[in-house]
Amino acid sequence: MLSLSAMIVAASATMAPVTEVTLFTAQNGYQPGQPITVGIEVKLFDGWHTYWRNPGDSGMATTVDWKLPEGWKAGPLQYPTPARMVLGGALMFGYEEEVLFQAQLTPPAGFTGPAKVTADLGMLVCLEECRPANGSIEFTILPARNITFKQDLKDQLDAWQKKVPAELPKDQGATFKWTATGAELTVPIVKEIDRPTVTFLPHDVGLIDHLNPVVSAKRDGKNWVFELKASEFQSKKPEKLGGVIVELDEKGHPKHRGVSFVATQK
Amino acid sequence: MKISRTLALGAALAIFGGLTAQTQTAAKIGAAAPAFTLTDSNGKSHNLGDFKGKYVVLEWTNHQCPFVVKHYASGNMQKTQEWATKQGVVWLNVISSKVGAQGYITAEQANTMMKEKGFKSTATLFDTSGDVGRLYGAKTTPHMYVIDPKGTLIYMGGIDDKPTANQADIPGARNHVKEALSEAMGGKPVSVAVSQPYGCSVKY
Repeated sequence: MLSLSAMIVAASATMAPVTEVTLFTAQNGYQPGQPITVGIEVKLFDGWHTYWRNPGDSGMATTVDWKLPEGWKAGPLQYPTPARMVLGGALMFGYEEEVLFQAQLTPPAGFTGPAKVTADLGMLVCLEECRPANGSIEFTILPARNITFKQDLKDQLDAWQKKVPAELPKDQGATFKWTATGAELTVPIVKEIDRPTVTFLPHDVGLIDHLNPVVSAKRDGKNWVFELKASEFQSKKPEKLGGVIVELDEKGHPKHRGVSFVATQK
Repeated sequence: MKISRTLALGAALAIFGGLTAQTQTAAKIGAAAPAFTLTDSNGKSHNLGDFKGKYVVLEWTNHQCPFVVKHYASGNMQKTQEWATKQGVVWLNVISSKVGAQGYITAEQANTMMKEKGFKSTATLFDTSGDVGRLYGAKTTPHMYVIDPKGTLIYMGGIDDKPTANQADIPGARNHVKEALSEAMGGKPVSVAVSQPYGCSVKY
């Protein structure tokens, strides 16, 4: 058995299934102290969508709570850059057709024996209406003396990893300051965001307007300076402002994976 | 000739559209809550102005939305309604789902549902055209508004600060509606006057 695989189907006695969720890893087992990548593949039926870490004006963030053996650590859930979906004047960040989230689990150096892992998935899928697709997937990862990969699954994980936003290099920090109408954000110009037609996808709800976040973008030496519009629901002004800068096509789908960062206050 | 006339007409329409938008008063904290008249599930007409002198809560709802189900299956919404109405607050459910869309129900179905689920609200109003929902900028179900006795909007946003469809998140959540009403009734400023609403989109 090279991959662990478990599936939940969002359905009930009276409703047809609208999504299938499969959890897998591409390797034959774990080695102590070495991270192992777990993929959560979500296949959505025609027309249905699910959500990014910030769902936008409605919907719900997709989350995974891991229950792990003692000493195991789970890295953050990696979300591919979402599409911007406009429905009835509201804007949602999410995915249609299919999406793959992934996370790295790391056993402690001295760990031995089978490892029981539970992923509690919090997910909502919507078309005109919404249905919860919450579920718990339990599986066991066995220790492996030599790691081998199932190539097609590894390729699938690698391909989706390339859709997760790149992190802005640590020494090129983004900064911002709150203004009367929103925020002024300064981001170093890197390869992925070298055009003025990019947009801003806020990591969290309630800070920056989802539908029309960028009021203006101007080049200032090695930086972009964005004037961002506050969310009409903004009630707090935190010291950090996270988000993704990305270019989108005319349908609102990302042209590339974009750059993710957490800007610190000037 | 034809082309230039079409363009002129287009420009005139654009200006007219701009003026129309300005005459509508959107919901804004500290300003008068937009006026409306809607009919409830018993055929009775309600005008917001009728409730001057009382606190009013507007709760946008759609009984088939998982976020609304979270707050009704757990009894959280009914408990909040009961707590508020016992103190003289007028609590109005508003259904803006268009005919045939999720959450749309007839007056008779609404009365049955309110009875079955133990609603403690004052009335359920129908806004099938979506005009009042759009006037208030209602984005989600639930989406909550609190109006003070003078008719001023003092809160708009989520029912609480845990944006999930999971009932287990209710005990640890901060109920913004309860808090806004308590503070205002105690003569204090409302500490959270605006929050991000969460839920299903309103089915306009």
